[in-house]
Amino acid sequence: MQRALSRLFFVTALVLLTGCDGGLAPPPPSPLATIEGTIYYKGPWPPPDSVQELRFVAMRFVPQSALDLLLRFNELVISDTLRRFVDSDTFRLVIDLEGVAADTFLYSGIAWKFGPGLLDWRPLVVYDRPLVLRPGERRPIVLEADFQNPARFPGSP
Amino acid sequence: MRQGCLLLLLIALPLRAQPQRAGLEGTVRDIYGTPLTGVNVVLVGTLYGDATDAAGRYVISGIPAGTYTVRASAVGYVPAEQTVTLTPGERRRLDFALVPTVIEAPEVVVTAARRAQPLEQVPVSLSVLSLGDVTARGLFTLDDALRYIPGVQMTGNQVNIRGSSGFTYNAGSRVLLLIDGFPMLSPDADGVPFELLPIAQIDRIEVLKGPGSALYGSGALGGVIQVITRDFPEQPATEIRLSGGAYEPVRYATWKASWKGARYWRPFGTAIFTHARRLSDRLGGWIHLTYLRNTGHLNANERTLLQGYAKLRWQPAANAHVVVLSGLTWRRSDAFLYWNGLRDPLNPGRIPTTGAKDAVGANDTESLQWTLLPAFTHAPGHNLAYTIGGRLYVLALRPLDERGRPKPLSKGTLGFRYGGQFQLDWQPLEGRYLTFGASADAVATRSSFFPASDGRPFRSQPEVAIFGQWEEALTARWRMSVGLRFDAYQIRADRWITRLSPRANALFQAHPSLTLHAAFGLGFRVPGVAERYIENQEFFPIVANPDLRPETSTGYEVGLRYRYRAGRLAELNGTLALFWTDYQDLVEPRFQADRLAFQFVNLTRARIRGLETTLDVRLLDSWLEAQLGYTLLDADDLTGPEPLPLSFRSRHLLKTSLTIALPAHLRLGADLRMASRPERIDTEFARFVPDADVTVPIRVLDLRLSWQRPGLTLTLLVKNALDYYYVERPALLAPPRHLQLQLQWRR
Repeated sequence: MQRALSRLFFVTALVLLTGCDGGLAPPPPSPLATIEGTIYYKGPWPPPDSVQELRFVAMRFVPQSALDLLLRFNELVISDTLRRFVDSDTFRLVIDLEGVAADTFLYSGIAWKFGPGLLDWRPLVVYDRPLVLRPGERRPIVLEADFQNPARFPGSP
Repeated sequence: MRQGCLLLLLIALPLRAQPQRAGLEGTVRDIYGTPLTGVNVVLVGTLYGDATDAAGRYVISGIPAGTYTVRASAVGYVPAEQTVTLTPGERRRLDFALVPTVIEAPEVVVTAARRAQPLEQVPVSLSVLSLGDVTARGLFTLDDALRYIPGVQMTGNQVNIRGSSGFTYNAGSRVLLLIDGFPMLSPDADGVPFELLPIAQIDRIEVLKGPGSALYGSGALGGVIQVITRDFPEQPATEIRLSGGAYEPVRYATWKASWKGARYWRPFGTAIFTHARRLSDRLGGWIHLTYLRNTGHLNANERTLLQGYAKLRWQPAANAHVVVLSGLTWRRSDAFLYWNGLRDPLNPGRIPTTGAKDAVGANDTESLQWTLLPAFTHAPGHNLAYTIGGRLYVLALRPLDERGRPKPLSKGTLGFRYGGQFQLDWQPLEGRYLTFGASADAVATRSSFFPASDGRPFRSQPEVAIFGQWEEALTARWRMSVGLRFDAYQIRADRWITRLSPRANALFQAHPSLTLHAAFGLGFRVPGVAERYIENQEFFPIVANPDLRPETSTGYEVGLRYRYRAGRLAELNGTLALFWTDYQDLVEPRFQADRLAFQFVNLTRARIRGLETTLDVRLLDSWLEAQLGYTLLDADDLTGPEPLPLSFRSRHLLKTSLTIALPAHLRLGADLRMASRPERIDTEFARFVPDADVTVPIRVLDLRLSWQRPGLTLTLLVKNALDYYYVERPALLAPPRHLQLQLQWRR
């Protein structure tokens, strides 16, 4: 009886060891697209406290306010922080196109963090058309920003 | 020949001396008045003695006049001694009240009704993990141990008993932790402090399932974890436990590429020293030292812990004792909060929109915790006992800067939890037990997360409670108990919250090996100071809500417990329970658009019903031991117009364990834990953290092989042997396969 139970134990362990999948795994490599941009700044820069951060942001929706940036955070892609107090800078954003033939970003441009608050963000300059990106595509864009005439959220008065 | 003479002498002596001899008789009970059977009562240094009968009575006759030390001893109780002087012809009555010590028999529990009673008489569901279970599995902390208990599921640092807690982003625990009967949640976040007590000092862990506030007040919304610490043994004992191991490198190149630490084995280890001895007939205790170092399986997830612990017991009289338990724990750890997505789960994530440079998914801290638990128990009569106890829990927590240096305490948290309680146990009649008590406790916490107001840096929340319960053996087969507890919490200077928590239980012994029970009880949890007053922008924007209402629960349960024994050949213990719990006003964080921040709010109304069954089998004199626990949960969120699956609850939970004895002093064991994928998870977290909504079923297999000789045990463990990658809570990868070697030496 002991031998039979021992065999049962080992067979069960063997089945368990070989019969399960591995659980979580990294998603397969996705087809990628790239946005390669250049930003030119004209006019004077505001005081440093008013320019805490600048990033290029591409959104799959048209935001009505800064709150949308927070509430729909997973529907946007965002670049690393851009350099401040320079005449121009470049940025590169790699887009994951997993499971889609193309990705459309209805609203994109440079986001300006003007204060310490979580929602102290506003658009500085907006790209003038939707970005439609397909796998393997590299899309160069050029933006010109003026802190004296920043863009507004579509929902702003 | 000599033995024959001795026998004759033993027989002849009392016969010859009968007229001049004295007699001794009496009753041995526990401190709660229950008669104890089989207790050895002896006159120390003589052959005179007796064992108590079913009524706890003993009789010793034919004792020569003189002064004797009379000793009563039984497994699981502190031996008691009394000195008596007997005159010729005297018949003296001498009663004993024994205090439970190491509760070795699985039949005895303490949580169910605040008193020791056989498991067969417990009218609620209860699971027990013994010291042997903990040691065999090489466990370091309480949360590791709880993962092996049927019906219990860990979601990060939150304990789910039958789905009670879900995952609520560090809201207070919906399960209460008791250490030797004293509530002990952390003073900062009302969480369960898993590292407060050295695991090697735990004698057993009992998990009471279902609302338990009628017994223990706030926090016992979904259940109670009772940790019973070891007592000192009769003989001096020393134990050294050395354990070391490493996490296996992850198998995916994508994950390794983003953190070089994942390409190597990541070591961890612990060294434990304990020593226990009697210092005199009346005084004894433990000292305990632990060093733990864990490099972690994730980037920024290291942990170092130093712990000292002592337990002293002084027995000034046979019917009284004082126990003082104190521990000091220093810990330095990186708390990995959330990952950087499923493509990069080994690195902490970040939320760029916060703009804070250190707003990454990890929180490095250094903490110091000190606990002090004194308790005095006295049994002035054979049917009366009382306990007076106190508790103090001090926490000092400091965040670390970028260089790993602790920031000032003003940037961290300083918290105190203190209080005391009185409990009276009275058995006026055979089969009737009455318990009354009162307690007063308070939390006072100062934290950089709780902004000061009115010039008062400390946020406090005092509470008082009175409780009582009545337990009655109606007939030989029917037992019932009812209890009522009144709690009052002061949440502001001008506002008190009061709760009345009743419970009722019935137990019917249908057969000597079969008992049926029914239980009803209420639970509640008063939100802690962290949930009320937290204000922070560093990790997530979150604002205070001082007006939170208590969470409440109403639980019903019917169940049975079955036991079968066929000598040493086979032993089987089984349970089945059907349960139904309604929850109201569960506190969860929600993003408040008008406040532009998260806030803890009373939101969810829920219903959790289901069944749970456990089976414990021992065959051929424990050559094979097997345990199985299965829990089916039907958890619905009733907040909206249509019921939805309740977030973060697995519908199926399975815990199995198998251990067999092999030749050459070897034992081989396996533990399998499985949980189905939660049908629904909260999406608020996934707004900010990539892939936070990704889950898989949990399938974790642990293997162990031990070689045991007297005083020495060597154990090889393979944890997560299937190298299965999973999450217990959103955005936090659980440990991959890791090997561990443990050496335990006892003397």
